[in-house]
Amino acid sequence: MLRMIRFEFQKMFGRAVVIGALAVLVFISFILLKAYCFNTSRTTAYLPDGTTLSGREAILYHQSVAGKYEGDFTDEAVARMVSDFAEEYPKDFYGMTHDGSVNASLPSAYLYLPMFLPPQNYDEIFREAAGKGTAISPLTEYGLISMREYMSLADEPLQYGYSDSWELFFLSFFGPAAAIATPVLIVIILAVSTAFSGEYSMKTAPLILTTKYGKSRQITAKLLASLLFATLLMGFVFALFCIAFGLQYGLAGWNADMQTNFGLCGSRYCPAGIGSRSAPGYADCFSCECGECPGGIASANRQFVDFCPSSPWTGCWGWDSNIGCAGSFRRYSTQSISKLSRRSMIFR
Amino acid sequence: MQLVLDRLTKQYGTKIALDRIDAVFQPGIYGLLGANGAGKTTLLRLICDILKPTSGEARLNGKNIGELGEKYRAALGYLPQEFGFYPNFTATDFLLYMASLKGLNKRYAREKAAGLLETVGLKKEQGKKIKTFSGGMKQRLGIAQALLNDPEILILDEPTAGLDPKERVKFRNFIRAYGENKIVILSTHIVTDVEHIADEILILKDGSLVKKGTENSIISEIAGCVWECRVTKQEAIHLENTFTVCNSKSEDEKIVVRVISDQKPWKTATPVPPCLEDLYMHYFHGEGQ
Repeated sequence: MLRMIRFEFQKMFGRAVVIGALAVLVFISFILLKAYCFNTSRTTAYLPDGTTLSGREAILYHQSVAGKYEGDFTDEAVARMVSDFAEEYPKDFYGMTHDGSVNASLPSAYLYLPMFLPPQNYDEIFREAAGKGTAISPLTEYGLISMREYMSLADEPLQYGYSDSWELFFLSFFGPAAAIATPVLIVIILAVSTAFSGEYSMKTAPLILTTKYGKSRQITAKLLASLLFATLLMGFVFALFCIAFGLQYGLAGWNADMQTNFGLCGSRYCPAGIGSRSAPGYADCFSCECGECPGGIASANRQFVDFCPSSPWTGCWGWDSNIGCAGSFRRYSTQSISKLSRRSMIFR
Repeated sequence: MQLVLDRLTKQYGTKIALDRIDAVFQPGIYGLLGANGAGKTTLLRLICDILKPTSGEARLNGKNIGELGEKYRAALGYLPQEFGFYPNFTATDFLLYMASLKGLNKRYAREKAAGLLETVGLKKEQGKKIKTFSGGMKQRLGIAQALLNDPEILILDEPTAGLDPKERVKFRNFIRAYGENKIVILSTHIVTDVEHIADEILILKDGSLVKKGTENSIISEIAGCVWECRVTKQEAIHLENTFTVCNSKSEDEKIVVRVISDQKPWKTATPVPPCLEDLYMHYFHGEGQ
């Protein structure tokens, strides 16, 4: 059987149309890489001195900032991050809270800090920022939300590490999956069709059909070869994307712990389309009972029922994956939630 | 071993391609003669189980070949009249591929392929891609693949097409030796191929088996009806228009015409012993014109 499968492959790759299609696929892959992975706002970096980096330099900058906090992700680490952020970007705070185009390029290490800023002080921070324009007090003065507010931590602390570029890659790769799938499917169809129609188009059918396995195992061999070809081709395209991305942005973060990723961003471990969190410690996330949140969308907890709005989005989770999942939202007033939600959106 | 065709019939719509063919094949070489469209290829395809008969059946040792399936095909070798190759395969690749389909183990297949390539004179070309082969080389490769599994039943449809005279002689000798204890069914237009090696001859005409027997027995039908006439060119034209002319050749300033006729066709005509080609012309004179 293995010999038969090998020969089926030999037949497939003996066709110029298959080789040509593969070459076109590689070309299209690079176009898609360029369009989806190398050409995105996430590959820009906004530096404290106001300059903007892009592409590889931007990613490397993000990596260097994140590298400072690599290791145990504790309250102390968060405090350092907030402190550094306040020091590095004080002039941009106002713009940052109001201008998404600015903070979209902030170092990724700072993107999730709003999760740890106490919302009860947010109005104060916000007013001060608005009043002073560009200068604010260090954010750490307002105190921070402990990690324990988010989840019951295990014995070992979460590990922080840079993963944004690869996260971006995977999101980008799977995002245009439909785009790359079409040419991949065309190549698969071309190759597989030659495997199945070759005997007739090349007039070898009379030879094949009079052999012992020509009417039986050969069909199985063709099916297996086709399946293998499709799998290998998908693997090839994926590997191609990985290699290209790795060469462009380096390997840092490719093996980041998945749990850490979950721990960093509340919104990211909200299942797609549903706002409640499934992570440990979020048993307080219940389905919205307000009757106003869209179907399937959850509220952070029952108390949100009170806030579920005439303008429904403030208290409803999951309407947009950008919204943060702060477990302590239940303590806020409707107004605060509205502001924090807006801010979270901006930070994301 | 006995292969029996029992009222084998193949019909395409209203056209009857083969009409109730009865035949018994035992080890030996069988020559199948017939004009274009006589049904030779259809008959061979039915024997090879590529086509299913409309009625009747073919049996090997008493069992229907369709029901025997893989067991039957394991004993079969087939060279079709028209067939193709995978152009990017080398000769060895192709034989190894066919060997895998025939269920031969790898080591045996390699040895057998190498031996057959030598037998058919393609040893030097074994590593070359088939797309570089001439028609004759492809035909020899086709013969080699048919022999890979040492088939008990070897079906050859126009096997010498594209072979040069030397290769034809070599092929005939090989088949003669091979057919001593195997069933070899050979279909060809080249009467001399059959004449030289067939133990028994079957003549197919318009889908029916019109004659079956040894060469001597079937040509005896026209014994006394074959004449040679030494005539002028004008007289030769007259004979061609009047009788079935098997052959004509120039000798000095005259033309020697070989004629089939129940009666003496020309005053100087002399009777000659009939040959298979005369019988072929007797049956198929005028067909295809």
